[in-house]
Amino acid sequence: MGDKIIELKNISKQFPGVLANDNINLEIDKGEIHAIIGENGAGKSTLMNTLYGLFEPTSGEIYIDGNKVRFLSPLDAIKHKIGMVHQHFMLVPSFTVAENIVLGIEPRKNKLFINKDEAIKITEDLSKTYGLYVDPRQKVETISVGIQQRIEILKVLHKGADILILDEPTAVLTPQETQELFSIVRNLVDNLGKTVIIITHKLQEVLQLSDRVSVMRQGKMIGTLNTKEANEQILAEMMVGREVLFDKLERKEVPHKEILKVQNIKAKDNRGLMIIKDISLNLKSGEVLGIAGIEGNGQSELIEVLTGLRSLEDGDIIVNDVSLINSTPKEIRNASIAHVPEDRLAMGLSKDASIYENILMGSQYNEEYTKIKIQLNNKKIKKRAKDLIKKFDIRTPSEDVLIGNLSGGNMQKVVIAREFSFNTEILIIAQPTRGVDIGAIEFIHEQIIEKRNQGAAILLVSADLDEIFRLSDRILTIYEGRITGEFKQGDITKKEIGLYMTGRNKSELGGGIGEEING
Amino acid sequence: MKKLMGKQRSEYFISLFLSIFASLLIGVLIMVINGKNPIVGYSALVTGSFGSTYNIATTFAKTVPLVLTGLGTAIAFRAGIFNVGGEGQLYLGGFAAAYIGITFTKLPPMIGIPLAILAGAVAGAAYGYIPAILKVKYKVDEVITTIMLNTVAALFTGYLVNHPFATTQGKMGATEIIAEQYQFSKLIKLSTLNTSIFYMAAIALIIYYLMEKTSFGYELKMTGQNSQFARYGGINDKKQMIVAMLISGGLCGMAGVFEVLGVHYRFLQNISPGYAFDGMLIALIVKNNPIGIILMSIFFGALKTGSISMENATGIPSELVLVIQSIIILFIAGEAGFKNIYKNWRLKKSSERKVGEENA
Amino acid sequence: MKKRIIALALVAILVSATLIGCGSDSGTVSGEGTKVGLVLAGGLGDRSFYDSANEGVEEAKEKLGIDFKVYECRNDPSLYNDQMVQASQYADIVAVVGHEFGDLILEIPTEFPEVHYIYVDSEIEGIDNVTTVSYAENEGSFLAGALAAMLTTDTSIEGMNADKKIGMVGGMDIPVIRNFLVGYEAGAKYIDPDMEVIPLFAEDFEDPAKGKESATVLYDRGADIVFAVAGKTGEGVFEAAKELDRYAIGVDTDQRYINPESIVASMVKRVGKSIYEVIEIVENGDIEPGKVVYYGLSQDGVGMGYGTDDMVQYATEEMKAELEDIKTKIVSGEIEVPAGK
Repeated sequence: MGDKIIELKNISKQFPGVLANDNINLEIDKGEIHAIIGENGAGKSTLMNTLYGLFEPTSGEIYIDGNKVRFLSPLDAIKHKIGMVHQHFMLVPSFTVAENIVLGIEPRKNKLFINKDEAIKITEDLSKTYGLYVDPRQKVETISVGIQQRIEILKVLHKGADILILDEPTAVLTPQETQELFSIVRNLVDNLGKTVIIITHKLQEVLQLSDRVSVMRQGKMIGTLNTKEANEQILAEMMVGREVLFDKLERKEVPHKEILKVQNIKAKDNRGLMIIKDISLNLKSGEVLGIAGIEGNGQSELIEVLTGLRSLEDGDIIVNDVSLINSTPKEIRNASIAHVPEDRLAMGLSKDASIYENILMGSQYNEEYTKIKIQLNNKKIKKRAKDLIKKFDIRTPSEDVLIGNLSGGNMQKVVIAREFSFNTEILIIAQPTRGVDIGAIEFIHEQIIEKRNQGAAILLVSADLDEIFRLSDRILTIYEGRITGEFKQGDITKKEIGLYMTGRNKSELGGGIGEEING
Repeated sequence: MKKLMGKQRSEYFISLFLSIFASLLIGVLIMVINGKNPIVGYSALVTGSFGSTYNIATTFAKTVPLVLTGLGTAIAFRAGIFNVGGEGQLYLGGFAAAYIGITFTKLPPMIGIPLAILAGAVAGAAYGYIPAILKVKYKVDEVITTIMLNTVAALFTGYLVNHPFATTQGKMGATEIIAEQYQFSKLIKLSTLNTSIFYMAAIALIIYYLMEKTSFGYELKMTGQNSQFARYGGINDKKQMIVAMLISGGLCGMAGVFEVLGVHYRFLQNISPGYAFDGMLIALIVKNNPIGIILMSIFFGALKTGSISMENATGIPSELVLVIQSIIILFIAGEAGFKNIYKNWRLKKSSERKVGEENA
Repeated sequence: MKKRIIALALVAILVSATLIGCGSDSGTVSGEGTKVGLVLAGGLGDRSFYDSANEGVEEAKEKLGIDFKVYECRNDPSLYNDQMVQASQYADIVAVVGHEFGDLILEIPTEFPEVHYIYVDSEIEGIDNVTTVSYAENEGSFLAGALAAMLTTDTSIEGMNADKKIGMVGGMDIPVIRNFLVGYEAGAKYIDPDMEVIPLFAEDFEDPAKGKESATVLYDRGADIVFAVAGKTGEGVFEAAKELDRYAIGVDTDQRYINPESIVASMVKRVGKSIYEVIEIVENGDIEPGKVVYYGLSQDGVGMGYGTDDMVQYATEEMKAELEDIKTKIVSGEIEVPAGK
């Protein structure tokens, strides 16, 4: 340790309208795990993409081992032994593990045909060398996200990388998989002489894994610390630029009344496979019911079923003693269910429409916003939009701005403003803070708890366990289309819940699920 | 309205005018290469389209079918359905009107004309319903079906006018002349401009109101922009698409009606020289804005009228105008790309300047 | 969406780029002579009807010193009115070519009383400033039918079978074309009463593809010679003849030059000659108002064209002599040719 392997000097990167990196200086030592943290849009990914040769910096210089280099493409970066594992995996699902690993530098027979045996051998050797077990013959489409990430890492190592950049590597992993990843990374650095740069916004992971940490904010480098000297509070303040107050959500005692009852429902996914196998739950007013689970275990479909966007195969959904089976999304909205969808751009908004048009969705035939029933009353519509922009602190010059021009956090606030303004008895909220910066997360969490305190029944689905733990009064775990556990706030740790999320509860914890659900 | 003219709008207007300007410049280039004087050419184009009452009337006569087919395509585009079948809907609409006009010769105009218009609109709408239902129910790409149905309609009406409905004068690709009370009167001597322009104005007003002012128009727009969002918000997106296609087909059908009742007084084989395609281009250029469609239709009508005069007066082929129109489209389609190029260029300039200042 | 727009725009540009290539030179402007406007429903370059009309005004320019302009409508119905009005505004004499103008010729001339109109292929009378020209297509076609009948059974010519069948591809089933058919049939039966004539109508004067399709059907049915009476559509007939090693008869102009191997002769309808002659009469001030001018064999308005001497001649000297004999008989009235219009 101690040798500077990478030096970035005065790097700036200008995008149309945004200075994504502003005069950044950064040094990476050989053999360290260096974390780069910052909110969304702080410029971390831009900086790393510049180092990986995807962007050319507008100005500034890059030194590798003390030599000035210029990267015009990732190929140049790879030549200098820099490799990157992106947040979204770039694997070919229909190829085997071995084929994916050798992709681009395939061993060949007769210069033309891929030598599959050789590819498998290469993969096995890599596996052994780095202690990362994979089955070379398996097809990528059949394997879990955690293993896919291993393949990505192996791919980069196979290309000869000594410096690995990992972009948000834990975003899609379970707590267990995260821990496995960390030990892999530790091993690469401590025993195999690699250097790792990890981009993240999860403070606990930084503290647990890294040797040093650099904090970015709004395109600027705020500072680099030895991790030993840092704590969550210090890092959060550096990231946000002001004091951040966690855990001051005030819960009021509110009377509970059962509003939503889901009884033994079954539903199919888009491929026609039964993804919700048997789910029952109930939701009471004045509570936040959190659903914890790894993505793809039926959460998305559960929400779609509840909001009328997907048809039920079996079972019943009852709101205030009325069955909602075969109801259209419109009827369900009228039955007092609002919905913050998991993917705001795919479902929650139209990015080509203005803020006020997006806020209008669902009220376009509301008498308050129409004249003579069919004509829109733009004055009132815009007035409401203005009020909500103010109330939800949406940062925009006016309500006429197109959604596509807003930041992720502000887009999410538009969705939340709209859905919360319906004042429904039930709120179904999915991934409310995904891709949202810390300041906005705080605000959104406060709004959710305020709704709860006002007596709304809230169903919260989130892949972020911290969020589930922070907001929920009650937590259900979901695995492969079934509820695997039910817990009161404070009765369970994150680590334990991870086991329920992976379906390992029965054997490893031994407890009967039935008891816990009834308890 | 004025408030809507935000930054995006003005940027769009700038790029639209630049596109038109650039394409006219390319027109100059083509004329020069062919040894023609572009000043003479363009002045012939302008006088040909606006030089006299007759010329202006002819320009507006050409505008009528363009506005209707333009609005028709726009309303379908708004809902996210790409109706390339306006031509076929126009043919069937026109034939339906002619059928009424030659069959119910005793009806008073008060009943006959609305009946003919309605028949044309229904025929066009019904013909638009086929690709709509195929798209919504069976996910068949509407671009392919509508294009193919265009050919079917042209051949089918071609058969009708040459066989069962051929005139007694011979099988010359035309029906009989429609009864007198169906014939719209011409407004300006010698030009084909007729009272259908008033119908067109009323229809355009209704469509504008529908698209821009109503809850229905809002739902249409949201469906087109993001159908998943629309469904999530309680809009029946499939119904919206079908309704949009029915209105679209109806409008294109009416364009055919007015060609028959207003211009030719009979249905002709090849009655449309591609009005619906021009209407589609217009809708694309102005991004489905109803007012823009009217203005751009006048522009296209003027180009078409003027180009003929230009050819007659100067020998510059009228096809030059097709090139100009196409280049406008290309520029508009590439608008985002050009905007980025321009922005990057400006950024580069400003950063170079900054660097220069620092070095100084 | 965006990709689709770009694709469509590119297609549009390609299409228009090909169109601009065939833009025409429409006449010239010079001097102070009488101005003639030639209005065509289709466009120049059909090597048939419209080109023949154009030859007439070219000749008038050369011999009478007139100026002329051609107004092509390219079969766009929205231009028929405009082009006719523009021609009327420009010219002193307007020659109108195409059955498509049947409605307009009754209206527009009344608005331009000082302009004289020549309308070919029509027999309208009573409009003072309109002279219509009617051709005895039946007489010329009688000769064509006779020649076809002589050749079709001559198996010494490669590709001819012994069947007594000949064909005709008409542009549209309209009176003018019927007139061709009736004469053609009568001529064939004059040579051999057992001769069978099969007509087909392409329903288009501008589409060679339809012509080819129709001709192929006729050849399949055993007709070795097909009379192409379809303007530009006829070019498809010639193509089919060439590809299938069969024979065709051209129309309007002497079309043998297009492909002398398969076009045995042409029935020329001298539209150009008639236009030239009517222009000349109008120029001399001798025109009778509102009359029909007839062009038959006796006026040399129709006849046979055998191409030039360097072409292979399928029609032997004897055949030509016999046709000449028939012609004399028709002119003298000895043979009465039925009419189809």
